[in-house]
Amino acid sequence: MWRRFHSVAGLAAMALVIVLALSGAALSVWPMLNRINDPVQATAGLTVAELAGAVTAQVPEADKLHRTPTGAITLDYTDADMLPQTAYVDAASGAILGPVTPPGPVYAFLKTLHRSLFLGDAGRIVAGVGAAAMVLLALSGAGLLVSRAGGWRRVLDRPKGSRSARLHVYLARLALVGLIVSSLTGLWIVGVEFEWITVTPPQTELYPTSTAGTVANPADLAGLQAIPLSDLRDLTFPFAGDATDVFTAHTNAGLTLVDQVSGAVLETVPNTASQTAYEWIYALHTGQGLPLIGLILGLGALAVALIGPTGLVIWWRGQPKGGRKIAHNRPAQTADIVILVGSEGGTTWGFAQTLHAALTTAGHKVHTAPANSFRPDYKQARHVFFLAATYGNGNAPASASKLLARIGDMTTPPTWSWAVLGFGDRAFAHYCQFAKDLEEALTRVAPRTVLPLALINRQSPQAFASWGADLGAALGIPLTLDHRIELPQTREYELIDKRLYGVEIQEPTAVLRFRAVATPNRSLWSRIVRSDRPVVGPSDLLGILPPESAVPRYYSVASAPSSDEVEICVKRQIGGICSGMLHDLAVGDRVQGFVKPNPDFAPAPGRKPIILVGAGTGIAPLMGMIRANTAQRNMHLFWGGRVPTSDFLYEDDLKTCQADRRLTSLTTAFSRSGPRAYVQDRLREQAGDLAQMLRRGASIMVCGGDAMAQAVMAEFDAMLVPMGLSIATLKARGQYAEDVF
Amino acid sequence: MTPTIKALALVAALGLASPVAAKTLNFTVAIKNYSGNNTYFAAYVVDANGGYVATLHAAGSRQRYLGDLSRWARLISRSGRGVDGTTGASVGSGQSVSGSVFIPDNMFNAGYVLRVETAVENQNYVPNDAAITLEDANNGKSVGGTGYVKSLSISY
Repeated sequence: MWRRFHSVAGLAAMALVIVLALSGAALSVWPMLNRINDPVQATAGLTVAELAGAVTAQVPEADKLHRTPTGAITLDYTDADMLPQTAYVDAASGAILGPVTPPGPVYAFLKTLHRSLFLGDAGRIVAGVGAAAMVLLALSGAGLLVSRAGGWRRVLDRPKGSRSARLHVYLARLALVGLIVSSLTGLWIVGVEFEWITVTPPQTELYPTSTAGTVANPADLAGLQAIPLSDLRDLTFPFAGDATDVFTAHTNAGLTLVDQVSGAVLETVPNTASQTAYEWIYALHTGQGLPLIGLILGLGALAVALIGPTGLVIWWRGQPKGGRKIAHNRPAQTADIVILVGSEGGTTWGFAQTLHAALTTAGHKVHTAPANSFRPDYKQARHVFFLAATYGNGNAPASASKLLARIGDMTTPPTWSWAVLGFGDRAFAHYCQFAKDLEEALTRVAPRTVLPLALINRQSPQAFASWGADLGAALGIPLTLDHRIELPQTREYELIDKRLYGVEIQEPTAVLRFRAVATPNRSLWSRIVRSDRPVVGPSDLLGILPPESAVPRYYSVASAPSSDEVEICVKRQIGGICSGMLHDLAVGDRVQGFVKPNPDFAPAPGRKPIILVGAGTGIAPLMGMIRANTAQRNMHLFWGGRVPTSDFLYEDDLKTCQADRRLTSLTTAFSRSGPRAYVQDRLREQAGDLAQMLRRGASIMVCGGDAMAQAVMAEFDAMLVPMGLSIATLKARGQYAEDVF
Repeated sequence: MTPTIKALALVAALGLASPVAAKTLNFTVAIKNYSGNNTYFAAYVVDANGGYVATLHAAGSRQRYLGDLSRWARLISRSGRGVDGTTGASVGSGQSVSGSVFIPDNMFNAGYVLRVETAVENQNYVPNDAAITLEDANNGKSVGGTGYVKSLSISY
């Protein structure tokens, strides 16, 4: 289970991984600083002999020359007071350019933190575990990304879901490769540190000695003359006063030992493969010598600081509130009703709890369990209800992975009747696919159903309540499913304007404009935690709590972005508590509400045209987008109403927007007047123009009732098929968005 | 931390024929207070001409980093004998290491020198950190170091 693993590993290792990533990101700056500050030396045409000769004339005792990965040359030497010194030297003259300043306490602190968390060898192991966790998180995250997107080719599509989920996916996609490189190389370095991985540097079996005689000027030694300075990594001088010692040079090719008397090359040892691998892996991990790659990997590591916490938010939101514990859960073999839950994250469990409680209240003995516990032979069960979410590309969720196979194995019709309730999100291409598959599988083996398949979009409590009413009727019991979801803090909104449409045709529809009532006494903390969204506009929803109800109704915001005003469009429903209450409001009255973002119904970024399709109050979010379109992006609105003289919502506003080019074209269809038509008929009439727009990358946004959305989808599908495209492709690319009620 | 190193028969290390008259040499390497990783060091004896004789103690648990003590590493390699002294962990700031070895009598007052070279990761390699000649004038004395060694003392 990618997802279970990813969240458990992420939670367990988050703090550690963030510490390692942030310290690593900070450390990645130094190689670039060195590149900028180091005196880079031109080495063309110079040999090691010339430089070695030149520096021995400058200092009392030269110990070691070093060409840094940035291209500067440093010299370790012992000064007249016998103190060790390190200085930059000029490649051509050997002159001392100035002391090399060590990187300082901040660098040392970060490096120790990054490598060992100040815990010595134990800390190095812990850091290694952190690197391993990062590798596994990156790989399982990549697996999740692919399965959620529905295949490799769709991995780069616009991510869906809440703000945290999208940020998590965006950042993870950007940083993924870098994080895998950083953590794998880090893991490898830990392995080398502890000698689990053997790296053999080029070395000599038995150090040779120089021939007896007078020590020569290094500049005259043929062996050193043969090494171009550009090939040098470091050169260790013979120990002062030891005429038998030799020059030890590490070059790009390997180890070279040179006689300090005769100048002969005494021995060469080529670089080993393990040493070369070590150097590359070390350079990749630290950025030393590869400062730009270092900075890029550092930025990737920096992203972990956001990827981690957004992951935590995603996990937290997926947890069932109040736990998965079911009160009064009866054993499977004594229950007369069995509820089976197929859920990936856990939100479906909340609905199961509500259903369980309501059925128990109605006098039933109810057993609720994960769907994988399904068995065909419940002894007492009269009904089995399946509450099924869908995972990724239409797959079975974690707790129902074996369900279809078990149903497929059934040979005789069961004694119980059943119903499937699917949970999903229309924004995904395979909406409630698993519930549909489940319905099909059950139909084949179990003929008796309680209710046909019903689907719940985006955890709608209303749709759930409505299914509950149908279920109650079918079972012959009173059943109220009042599913409470956690609400954000509400505030007061005062009605400042009210316009009524459609009264003449018995379809009263109100355009209501509210102003948020200032709440002066809020503490700083509450401002931070529960900050009111500073600007409310299209692609937001206004949640309204009707009196004596815990279930909010959501209305799309029809106003342009504003810090305190918000406009919605409400049709009076027969028997509708909330719409009735809103219609009865007079200017000056107040209601309790809150704003909720609806990021999946927002215009695709960019300048490409947008085709807006709506019917009735479905115009609300589209109107908001048009009003906000001061950039004059091409927007084409298709809207369907009933009678132009009665329910033509926003007639004047639309004309104003057309005049100032916020709206490019307006096409209307009226179903009870003149040449009667629906909005989908208008789409068909203009199919040629629309197809051309789609070919150029236009996106489509549809808002309205379910039947209208289906009809509109069929029209567009007919246009897309000849282009080799489909609604599913467009949805995956973020070019087809629906807000259906 | 002052671990006492078990007596090392340098006599045997040198391959000298037994029995030879020998003395116990006690030595202490004290490290300065500094900030950074632990010090790797090698304490070894060279003869009057700078020729390598034997290692008394190598501090540092990782072979990779002991190689950073490059002069000592070269001398060891050239000797063909490997590290013949005791080995231990690298030594932290302000700490010291003591040890004792049997040394043939004829190595005292004959120009033999006990030398310490040190290295600290990300910092310096100090090939000439501290040196003290094995002679009566230095018995019970200590000398300062130029790098990470606070003092090097001997007694016998």
